[in-house]
Amino acid sequence: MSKRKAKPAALLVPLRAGSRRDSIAPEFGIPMTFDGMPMPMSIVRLQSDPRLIALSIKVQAHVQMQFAPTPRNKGMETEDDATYRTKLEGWADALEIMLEEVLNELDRIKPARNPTAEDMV
Amino acid sequence: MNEPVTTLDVADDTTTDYGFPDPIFVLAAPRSFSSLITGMIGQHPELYGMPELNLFQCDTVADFNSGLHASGSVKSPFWSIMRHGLLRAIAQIHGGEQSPESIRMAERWLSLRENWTSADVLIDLFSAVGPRRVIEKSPAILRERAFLDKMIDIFPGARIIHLVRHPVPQGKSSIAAKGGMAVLMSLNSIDYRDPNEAVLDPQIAWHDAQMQILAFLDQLPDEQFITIRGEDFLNDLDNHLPALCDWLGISRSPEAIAAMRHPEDSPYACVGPANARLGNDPNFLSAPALRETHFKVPALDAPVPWRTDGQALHPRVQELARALGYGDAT
Repeated sequence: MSKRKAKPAALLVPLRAGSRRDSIAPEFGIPMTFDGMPMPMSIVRLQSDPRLIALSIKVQAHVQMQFAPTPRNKGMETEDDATYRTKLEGWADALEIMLEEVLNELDRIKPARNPTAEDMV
Repeated sequence: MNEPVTTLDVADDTTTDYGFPDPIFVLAAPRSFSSLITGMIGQHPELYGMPELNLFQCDTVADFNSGLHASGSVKSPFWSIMRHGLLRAIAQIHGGEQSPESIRMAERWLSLRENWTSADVLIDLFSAVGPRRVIEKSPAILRERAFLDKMIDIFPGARIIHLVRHPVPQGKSSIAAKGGMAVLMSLNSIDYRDPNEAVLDPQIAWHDAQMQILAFLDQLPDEQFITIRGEDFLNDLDNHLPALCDWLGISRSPEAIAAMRHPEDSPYACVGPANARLGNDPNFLSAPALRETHFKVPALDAPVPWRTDGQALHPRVQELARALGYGDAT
């Protein structure tokens, strides 16, 4: 711990909020593990309870709707996306120019490196 | 954007054994203003706001890279995106930028250090940004008490901010957030009392997140932590920001306070490169600026909006909220 003594700051105090420290999960019917922790969600657990299957279908539909492209956000590009796209396009242009130069150079040196029968006559 | 401080104004009596200042960690349930408030505090010129590093959930870098527990089970269905914060931090701190290339460099950096412990990585990064003092939050640390214990084992002098939000607006926000219902389901924040139907109820996750934090704080002296009600903090920045600076022993100069009002100036307060886009709440990353508004809180005993049976918060949730300073509606 810091050796500096903390200055009093009345607005900001440490709250310990009572002495009870157990989970509220059992009061909502959530099964507990042997060490007193709420049972974590798992595929096995989900598939074993028809109520959870129904809930997961509902949640999945909702999440799919949240993430589905809509006319409003479809094709919408943030400033960061645009910057990144411009950068990628710049690289693509540069690569295309370099590739073209390399191919031209290869065409130029190819006869010298792989002489045809006619060249060898 | 943060620039290195030119004077060693950071208190030299708050240093760790590793030679850099004791870090500050924010503990909060999801959807509790933690991205905004941690981002704001991290803009103080003597501090360095990290993205979500998610390292206390790992023993080694190999664990972090694989996303697997020692038992072979998956740490989280969201682990691949939970790695983004650390990748961005390594890219920024060791590469000087966040770009697809520097993120690939960060991946190589991690793959070459798979035998490092998570503490080794934290010490490396926190030393690199010294003398600025790190502030960090990774909400998933609340999943297991062992993660919190690891944090205080590595940094026994860390200052802790317990950030809390009223359970009703926090619950509404949890349900409304993109992917929020899936998160609540994965947390098993479900009311099973009706034999015919299981219903998502965010107050369960709110309560147990506070319990996890409070039980952890029981071992710390009063001087080491504070409780911040997010609504009070954001409704009264003029008084809360200087008070927080005093508690942390850092400058409360007008320039420092002004910087804290601009979380958007952090290099991490934006969507990252295509290969590490997150590192924080996506909602915050897409709109990180502080929008000064007045947050109201409802009565604790009013019917909660996500239930169709007209019930109010569970009495234990109400009791805990009161103990954390929430009372009448505002």
